[in-house]
Amino acid sequence: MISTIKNLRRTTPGKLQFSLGLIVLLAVAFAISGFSSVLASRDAVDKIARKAVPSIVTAQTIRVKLLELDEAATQEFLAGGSQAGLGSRQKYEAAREALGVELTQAASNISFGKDERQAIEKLMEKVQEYNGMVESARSYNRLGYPVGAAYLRLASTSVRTEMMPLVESVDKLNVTQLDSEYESYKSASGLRIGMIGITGLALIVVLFITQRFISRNMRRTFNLPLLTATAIVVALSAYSVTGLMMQRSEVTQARAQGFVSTYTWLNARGTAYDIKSDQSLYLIAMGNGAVYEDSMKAKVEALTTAVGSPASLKGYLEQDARIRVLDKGGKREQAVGLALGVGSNDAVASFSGLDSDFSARLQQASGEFYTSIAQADGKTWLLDWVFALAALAVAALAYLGLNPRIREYRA
Amino acid sequence: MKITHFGARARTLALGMAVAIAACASSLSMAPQAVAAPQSTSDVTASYRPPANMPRPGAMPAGSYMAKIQERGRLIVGVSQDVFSVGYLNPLTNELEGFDIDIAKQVAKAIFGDEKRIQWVSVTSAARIPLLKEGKVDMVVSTFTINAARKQEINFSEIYYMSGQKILVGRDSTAVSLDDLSGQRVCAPRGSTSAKNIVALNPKAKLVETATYSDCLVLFQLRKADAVSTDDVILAGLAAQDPFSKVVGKTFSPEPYGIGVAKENVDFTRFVNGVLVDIKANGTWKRIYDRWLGQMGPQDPPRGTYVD
Repeated sequence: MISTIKNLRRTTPGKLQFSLGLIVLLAVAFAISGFSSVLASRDAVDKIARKAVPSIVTAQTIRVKLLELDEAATQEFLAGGSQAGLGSRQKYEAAREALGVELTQAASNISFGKDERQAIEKLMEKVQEYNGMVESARSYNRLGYPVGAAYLRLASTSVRTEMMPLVESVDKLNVTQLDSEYESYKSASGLRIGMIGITGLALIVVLFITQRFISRNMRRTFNLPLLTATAIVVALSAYSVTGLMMQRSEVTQARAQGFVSTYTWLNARGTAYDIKSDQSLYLIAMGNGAVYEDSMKAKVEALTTAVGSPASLKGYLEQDARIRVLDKGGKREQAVGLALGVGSNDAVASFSGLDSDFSARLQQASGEFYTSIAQADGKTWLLDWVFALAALAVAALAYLGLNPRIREYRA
Repeated sequence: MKITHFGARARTLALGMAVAIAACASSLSMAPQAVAAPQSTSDVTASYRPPANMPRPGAMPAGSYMAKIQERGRLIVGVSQDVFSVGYLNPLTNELEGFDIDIAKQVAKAIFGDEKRIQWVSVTSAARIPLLKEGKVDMVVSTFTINAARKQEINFSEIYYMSGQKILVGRDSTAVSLDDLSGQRVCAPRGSTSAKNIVALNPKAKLVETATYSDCLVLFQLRKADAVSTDDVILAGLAAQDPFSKVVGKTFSPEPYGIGVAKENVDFTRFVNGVLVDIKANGTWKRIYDRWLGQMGPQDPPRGTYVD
């Protein structure tokens, strides 16, 4: 093989034949590196966008639904058998159904092995227990038995001390996985860009040398097919390298802005429900709810640190302050009435406003994330096939450009 | 007004002996007094002697703790909200109801002439003394057993109910005493005398502590506790909520209930005792007992003992 190559380089047609072979070989390498890089890159973006992030969103949605469920249960308990509890019961049923869907989805989409599976299974078990305790609380409450409040307290405590740590462990697994996917995408993306650049550059150099050889030895200024092949390689290299770099930038932006924002608002929405539950538990505790008041203060502080003080949050906190002033002033009945929306719907409306506001911001953040991902995807649209076609075109053009010259010498 | 008049006469009778011997009515007046512990006595239930003349509702003596309450416009009372028939929040009415609640209402009635002028604060067993010491409640009426250790920290009124510790077990259990519960999980509220008694009387029983009495019933129903042991009146309330349980055996520890008041509020302690003397004598106590605890059998109001 080596001696054949050495023999080829002794004569002009041999040199041309050698160049043709080298150009075809490099065109194939260029196509393979481009094709595989685009495919791998698209696959990595897909993993981030359609696996890691949705898993995190699912875990966070489970958290929100659990807290929504508990908020509805405590609110219904506070209302007792009165008409004011009807809406809360419907909310509870809806949240329970939605939670069931999310948990089933999470169970059927275990991405990260045994730890995640065990946590999800344990969570499903705990949710069953929780529902049982809430139903006991509800039944005893309607019979007028105080043990109902104990069941509710135990159920609410289990959400915070048993279920939340499980959700957090799943969330942590998913976030770790996302970080690892993202880091490996970033480093592999650099490597892919480098591979396309190197094979592209090598092809351009060989095409350029061949072009110069023909110009010097065959008194032709330009070999048009070779020139066209060079232009194709230059254009495709530049386009694909730029495209992959822009894709990386879009993914970075999606991670740093869209995803972080989505995560923040998902968290914020869950915390809002948690705060509302604390208000109900505070009222149920009748003057001995300092622990729930302190808990709420800490959550409000964490919430304002994360999302600032939107008007909807301020509005809700103003209503909450009114409820507490009434309660501390010995007017518990009015405080409970206000919290349940009896007479004035202001307190209920203020929480609905808060939830709607946070939901809208969540939608917006999520939209931004998926827009960035779609844009990142678009940067490499059909590029894999363009590489394959370009390799064929370069090989064909090289043949068209060099074969007549080889035949001229042989003739 | 009629009741008040009758109450005053009854109180006079009850205090007749003491007043005659003491001949120091001025020291029993409702004027504010310096903090002083009751004189030493072997009777742990002895409390400050009631005033010879109770002030009329709405006319509390200037400078007294009762005047402060009157000025505030409401009496702040710590109660249980989960002890059925004693102190519990009735979800059907969203009102606190029970024996302790009605006793507390009598104090509000004596101060304001209106038993509804109360701000209720739900208390757990462990929170009763701290809330009194921090001045967050004026008094605690919450199945509060009078004992020497607690009297070091707060004042107690005279005894208003004599309870005793028993056990609650499953309907098919053969246990009839704490001795039969060795190796079993027995629940009692954290910080209660019941919990201490379980450890003292049967160290082999496994004590399970909770925040409230109802929490014990939940653990019992979830089979995380085999029995509950606390005062008979509380157990009766728990058993009424669970037909698969029963209260068995004899009372093994007397639990005299008193109303807790902050240590420094001696004048208020005397006033509360005056109210208790009145309601025991005028039939109000009996009416309240029959309404809430009558199913436990007839009982006469316990007699108070005093020190100056």
